[in-house]
Amino acid sequence: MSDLKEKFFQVRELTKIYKMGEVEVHALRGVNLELYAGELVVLLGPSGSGKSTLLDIMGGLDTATGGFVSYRGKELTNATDKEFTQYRRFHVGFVFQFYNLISSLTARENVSVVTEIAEKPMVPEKALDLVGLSERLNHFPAQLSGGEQQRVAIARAISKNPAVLLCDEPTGALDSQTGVVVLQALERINRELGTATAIITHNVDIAGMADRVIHLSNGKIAEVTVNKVKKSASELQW
Amino acid sequence: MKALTRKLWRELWQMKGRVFAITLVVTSGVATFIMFISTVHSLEFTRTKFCHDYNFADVFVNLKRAPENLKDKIKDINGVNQLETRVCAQAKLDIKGFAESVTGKIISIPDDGKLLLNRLYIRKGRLPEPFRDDEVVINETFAQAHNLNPSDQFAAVINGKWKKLTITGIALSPEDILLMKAGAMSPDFKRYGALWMTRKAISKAYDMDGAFNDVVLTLYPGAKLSDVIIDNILGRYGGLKKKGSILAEDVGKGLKNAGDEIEKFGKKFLLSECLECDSCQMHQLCFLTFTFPEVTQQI
Repeated sequence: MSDLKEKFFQVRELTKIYKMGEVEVHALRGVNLELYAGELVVLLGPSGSGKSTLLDIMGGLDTATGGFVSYRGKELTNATDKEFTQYRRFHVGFVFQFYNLISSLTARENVSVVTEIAEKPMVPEKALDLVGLSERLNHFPAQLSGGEQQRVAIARAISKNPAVLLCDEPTGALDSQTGVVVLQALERINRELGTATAIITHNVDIAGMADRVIHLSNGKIAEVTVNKVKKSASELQW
Repeated sequence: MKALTRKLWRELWQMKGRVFAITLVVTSGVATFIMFISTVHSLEFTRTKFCHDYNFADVFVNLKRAPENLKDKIKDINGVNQLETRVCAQAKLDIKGFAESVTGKIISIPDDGKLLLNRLYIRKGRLPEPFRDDEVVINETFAQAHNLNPSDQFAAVINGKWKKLTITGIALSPEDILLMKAGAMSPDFKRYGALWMTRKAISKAYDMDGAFNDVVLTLYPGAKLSDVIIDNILGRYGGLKKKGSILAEDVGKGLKNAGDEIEKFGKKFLLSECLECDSCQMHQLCFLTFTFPEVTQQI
């Protein structure tokens, strides 16, 4: 499968060291991986294993200390701030554990914030429909449940039609039932839009819905497993 | 409307109370600032106009005594425009109902009442009659401090003689806007005032017939000012060794000659602070008004 699909990300010997005074924290210790178009990858690992750091570097939110990262053949490790901004704005969608919605804007308006500056956006209503919130367009975040707020955040991330969707613990703040609904939304987007999706989680049960599961431990990739039979998000429970 | 614009307006509306308060504070600050600036401009304009309209002098000269015919020689000095000789004196005043010591600075006005420089603005009443030696005009702040009005009377000890004076008018002068006694830190309108009498009356009282002890003059625009006077003239006569006498150099030379001439009369001639009138330095004037008498005593 991997050989046929476009290689979106190529990561080679990626290292990241955080300096805290005289103490050096090695968050990544030589990571190598690829992410292909349209695939759904779960990055699995305990807290402190380097998952978020890896995703931040791939998403252009942070820079590596060493190694090499390229997106569709273009090297990110030496990109300028302007190039990073363009990259984040037009190619990558982010979903975080906390929804970061603007409380004074409705669900539709929160999505509009992105569609107004994106190159080829979908209409906000369509994005919200994809996450099952077509009935909640004019609700403010305070009027939505946690799961609904996270789905608004997903709609906002996908409304610019990104090639890649990076999700950092998208169900971390949700109960299992609501988490499944959110994962269903991600699954649908991956399936219908073909958006390459990387989901960070420490929840082993979520790994079942991935094409590949990348296990991180202590800043390194410990294991990569391929799910021969993917589970549907609705089958997941924890 | 863009989403972020909508966010802005919505959030402003949500905190409308605070926004209103902040707007009110800022508006008040700006309004106060504008008011102060306007007041300052207005005061400056008024001051300049008052000085101009009432012909405020550029140079003030105080001396012991000089013959009146010296006036023409001073007038001939290059750079001097208008000139007026005066007789000025200090007198103790006896104000009814006020037990403390009051000092009056008496300034002469020409007998015909037509002051050339430092003209008076009569707020109430009139100027003294030319033939009356017991009529005075007093400055407004002094009048207000003692609730004096035209036709009121008070006594003065002029050159050792007790004399009853009648107020004929209340006036403002560009020379005495903020009148302060020598050595005072602030004006004391109750204890120090300015009085204007006819030249004839004050000359008679102080034995100044045909003489003067005070000169005020204006300079032609562009006359160069320097501080040579004190050193060149007063220094020679043991006057004040201080900087501050500023006159056109040629005016200074001329006055130096005049000073020599005065010396021939056996008198000491004192030049003190001079003012550049391009901006009418009123505040310096009050300094002058209390400096001169003291200076005179030191000579």
